[in-house]
Amino acid sequence: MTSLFTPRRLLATGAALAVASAMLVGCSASPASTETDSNELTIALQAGPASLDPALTNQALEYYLDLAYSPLIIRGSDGTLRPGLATEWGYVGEGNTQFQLTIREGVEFADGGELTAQGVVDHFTYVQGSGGQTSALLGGATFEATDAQTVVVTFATPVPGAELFFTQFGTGIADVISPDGLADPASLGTSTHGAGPYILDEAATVTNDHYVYTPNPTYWDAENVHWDKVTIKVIANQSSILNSMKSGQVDIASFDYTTAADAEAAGINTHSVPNVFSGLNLLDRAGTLVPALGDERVRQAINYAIDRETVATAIYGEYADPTTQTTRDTGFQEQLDERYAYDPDKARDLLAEAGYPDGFEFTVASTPFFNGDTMTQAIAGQLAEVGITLNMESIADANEWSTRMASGEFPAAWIGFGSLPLFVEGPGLFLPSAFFNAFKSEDAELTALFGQLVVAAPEDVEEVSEQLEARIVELAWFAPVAWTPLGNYWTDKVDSTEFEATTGLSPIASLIDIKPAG
Amino acid sequence: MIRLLARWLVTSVLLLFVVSALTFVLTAIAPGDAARVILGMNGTQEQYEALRLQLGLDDPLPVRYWEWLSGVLRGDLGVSIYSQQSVAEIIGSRLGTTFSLVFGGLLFSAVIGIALGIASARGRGPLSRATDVISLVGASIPNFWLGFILVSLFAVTLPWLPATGYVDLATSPAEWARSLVLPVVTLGVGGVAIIAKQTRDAMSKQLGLDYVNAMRAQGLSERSIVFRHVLKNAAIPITTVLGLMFTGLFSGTVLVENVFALPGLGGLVVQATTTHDIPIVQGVALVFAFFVVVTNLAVDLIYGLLNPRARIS
Repeated sequence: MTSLFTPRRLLATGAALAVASAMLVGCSASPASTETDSNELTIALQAGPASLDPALTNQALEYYLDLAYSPLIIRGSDGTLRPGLATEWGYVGEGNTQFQLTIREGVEFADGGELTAQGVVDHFTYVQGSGGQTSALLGGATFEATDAQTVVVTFATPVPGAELFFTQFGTGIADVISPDGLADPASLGTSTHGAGPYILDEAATVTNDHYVYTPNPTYWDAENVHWDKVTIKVIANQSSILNSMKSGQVDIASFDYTTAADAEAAGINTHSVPNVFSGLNLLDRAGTLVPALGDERVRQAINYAIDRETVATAIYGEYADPTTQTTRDTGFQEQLDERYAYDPDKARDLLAEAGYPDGFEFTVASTPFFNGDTMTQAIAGQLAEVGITLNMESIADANEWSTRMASGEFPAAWIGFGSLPLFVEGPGLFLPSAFFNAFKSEDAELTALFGQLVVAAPEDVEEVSEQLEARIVELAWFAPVAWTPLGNYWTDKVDSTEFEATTGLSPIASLIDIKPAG
Repeated sequence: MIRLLARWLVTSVLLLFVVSALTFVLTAIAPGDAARVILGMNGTQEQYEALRLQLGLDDPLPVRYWEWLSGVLRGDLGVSIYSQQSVAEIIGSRLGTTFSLVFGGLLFSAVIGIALGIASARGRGPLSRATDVISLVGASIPNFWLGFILVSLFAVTLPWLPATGYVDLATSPAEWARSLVLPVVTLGVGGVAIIAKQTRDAMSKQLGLDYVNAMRAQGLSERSIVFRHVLKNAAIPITTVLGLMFTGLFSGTVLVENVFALPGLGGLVVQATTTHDIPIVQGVALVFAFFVVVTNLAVDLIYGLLNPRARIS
């Protein structure tokens, strides 16, 4: 019988491996073979969409839809609005409850259907009933096609600034699905049915690995299709993303402060804007679990005890701005950031006044996601200086963290919350029904100010917003520490204009506007 | 042989059942669910409860498990909660990547490890000690770290190989192989160390036995003794290690797929677990368990090939 392990076989196999490796390396010795083609764009994102259905897609993953679905209103990188599938828009009458959109004529969907006002109404109805993230924004609203080109949305409660919902921000709402797509909702998860500049190439796409888009020949704004092909690659590991950019496989990626210095040293362009406040959400505002947190003076003491400048610099270096506020949008005030200037003595005095001269102990639900644990640990160190013991419970899975945070299990939690206009922030952050308000806390003054804001005339919005933000800071329901960065990396192959146009109020570059360099 | 296959079949069915039931229960009782993921942070409690009802997440656990199991018995692994895509299709689209990686890693480990082990067993002290050191170093290097070092050298500094990504074999065999070189080496290095040490120990033991001296006395060449007789006798423990390694490599793919952004089953199950997409988690667990039982059968059959006494018993 012949042995399985003759030296010839072993040598032959080993040699074959070596030769194959050498040939592979040899045949790819040109760096160009690992680089993307000049008019093809490759973007790396850390997460893939669980579904491509606009109604079910996470808002943070809007890029997967932006290419294939044209929004009703296009939000440019600098935040300015321009016509998309809607050519005109605005409120009807006073009170911010009725919003009218004029639908563009002659638009054809990539799958062949035609854009009509009734089609937009059907789309809104589908999104409203989908249970997806943006469906809540349309809760209780009604829709009507008043003529062939006009749609009127009637909100259940006043909504100022509703145009934002019809931009890329309102992913599911703004990205109108074709009649064919609405007729077959099961197909929406893995294929695209929009009127955007590109079409998903299903054959070339591997779910949650890479998504390939090719130009849509019927796009209504054909002059503004800038690439022959766009690929979005899912690369979960940030270091792997950076390596892919260095080797020329990826052209655009999200900014990450932990690798920013390395990226800049490698000649990759970077731009970031402070957008997400990171700090503590002091959830137990009635003192149900931890009586001390029910006292406003104690919550303010926590705010005074944090040296924001030191913490922000230690964690984020030059890429974060210290803050005590929850929004950078209308309502943000420079002087409010001084409301809790670092003063540990004042913190100790307030604790003593509230009956806690020796401090107290509480548990914070944290998560490694978005560097929550590092921030929580840094805050714990600061609070220890004034006698407060912060016990961190780190929950590795971000979904589990959010579920348990919202369940009322913890008296406090780490929070990372992107800056939004206050009328959008309220229902998510501080109103009694808000997801981040686990104990359904309510402050009559805060609720009243929010009520004023949503019906305010445009000229009154700033004043009411400032009063509202001041009240949030005064109540000390939160202990924000810093605005942390969002932004992009890009290679020289891509024009810089769109990335550099982003601001803290408009941190996401408009993907369809990004052009090749030169 | 029939008895072996019958025993394998019964054990396999039991194992698959236990694995699927355990996976289902563990995934279902983990905090959070798909309804919360879909709704995100904008949804109200009422919307959340309505969506749970719509997705069937309120049904009792045994009912949900039975629904899934009866589907599997009909050859239907179900659909993803989010994309409504068939789980079998999703797994099928990623199986090739994971297989390429695992078989490549095993081949790399086996060829280099056995060659190193033989050389060490036949050599004198220094080579043997060198194998020990290499084994220790190889087993100690975290594969994700090694992966980054290899990428830094062979994709960034010397732009020879891709830093990330996978090309399907059918699309381009050469690009497929290029995309696998670094991941396969990363995955296989730890195995080289284990196999080299196992081979050296097994070979050294055999080389000290009387039959080897007898063959030498008969004038057989050293090469023939080592490769035709000794290595064959030493092959049983090596096969056992290879079998164990093969199943172990499946779990190793999770990190390697992450570092090289490969679309395999490891990454799929991680993502499905974090989003509570239970049908996908169940499907992948079932596939992994199936490969474990098939590998065990293959190892048993190879034992029989290598050692007739094992065939009889």
